[in-house]
Amino acid sequence: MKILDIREETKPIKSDIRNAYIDFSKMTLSLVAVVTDVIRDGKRVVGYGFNSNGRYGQGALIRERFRPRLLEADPASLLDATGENLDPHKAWATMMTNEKPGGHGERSVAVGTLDMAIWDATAKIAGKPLFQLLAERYGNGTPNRNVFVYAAGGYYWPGQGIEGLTREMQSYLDRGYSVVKKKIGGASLTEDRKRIEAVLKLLGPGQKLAVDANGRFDLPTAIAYAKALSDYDLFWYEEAGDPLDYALQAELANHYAGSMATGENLFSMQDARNLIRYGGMRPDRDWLQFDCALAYGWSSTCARWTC
Amino acid sequence: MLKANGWSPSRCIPHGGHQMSLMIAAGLGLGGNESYPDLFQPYGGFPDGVKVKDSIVTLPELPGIGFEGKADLYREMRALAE
Repeated sequence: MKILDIREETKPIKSDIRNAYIDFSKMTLSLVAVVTDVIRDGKRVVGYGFNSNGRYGQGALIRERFRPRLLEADPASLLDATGENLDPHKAWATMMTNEKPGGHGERSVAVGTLDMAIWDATAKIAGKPLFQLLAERYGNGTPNRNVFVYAAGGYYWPGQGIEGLTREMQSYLDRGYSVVKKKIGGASLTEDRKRIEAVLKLLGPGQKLAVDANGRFDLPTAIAYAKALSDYDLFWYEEAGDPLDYALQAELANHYAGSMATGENLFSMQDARNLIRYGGMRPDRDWLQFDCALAYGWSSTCARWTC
Repeated sequence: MLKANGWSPSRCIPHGGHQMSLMIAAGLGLGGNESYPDLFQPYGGFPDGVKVKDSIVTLPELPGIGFEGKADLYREMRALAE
């Protein structure tokens, strides 16, 4: 088998009209299609991938470096031992040819997007859901198809008021979510307390609120919030300071007994490892949020992060 | 890396709200996944017909990541591939 073509396009990200106050209009992503010569159930197998929100389309990197490396490689060099399916780890190593370590930038997003499409194709060729393939190769063989999800939103927007925030949060609860998340740090601490308390009033037994500062606090502000947030029973306090400020995160742990969460803006195993080494994150209560689509893909994360 | 440092995969709840992380969560026993109910469409979210109940989704048995089960997303994908 072989990869016949890799197509990519930069696409806009749309937001629901209820959140049209937030300007996501300039945010883009890369959509990619890995077209193979394999036919399954009468249809050509195509693997698809895209990078998740928060970063932009990576078309230039994909077109100039990563797509040519895959298409110019000897097709057999990308295959597993059977010769009948892709080996995503070989494809990953091929993409990373002539890439120096460190300074990860956003090439991790380009590679993560292509890696997603390669795993999609690999599982389709194997005739299985990807969760099944991953459980067999890296887990205990038995997937758990029931997955916890929480609703992220609660952005600030002009004219929102407490009423706009609680209406949004209630709509998530009404749609079956028992954990909802809102932003903090876009208003004064006094105002944020009012917003948090208004949402907490909506919650019933077993329902929780998470808060997310999006990395905007300096250490004194992060600690002031930690003290205030300690008054509430929150699901987590997310990304208080800059994602790469491990000393801030470690100090924060001395001021917040509840759960902390961070990691979405760490794009390499080395950055993630530094968080674990130096960030004071506590395995008994804190949460890690590494996103494979932004961070070189599962072929990187599986070998060195999650496993 | 995590296991070597005393962390369980169940302490990971990835950012992003996409189906790839749902696959990893189901396959490896992560703690869950982010979801943006009203944002980043059609890319984020779940296959059509998947309902959230008590903050849990049950993933359908679709080949691959299962993008074909989300009609608005697959429309964009097919347009690129064909």
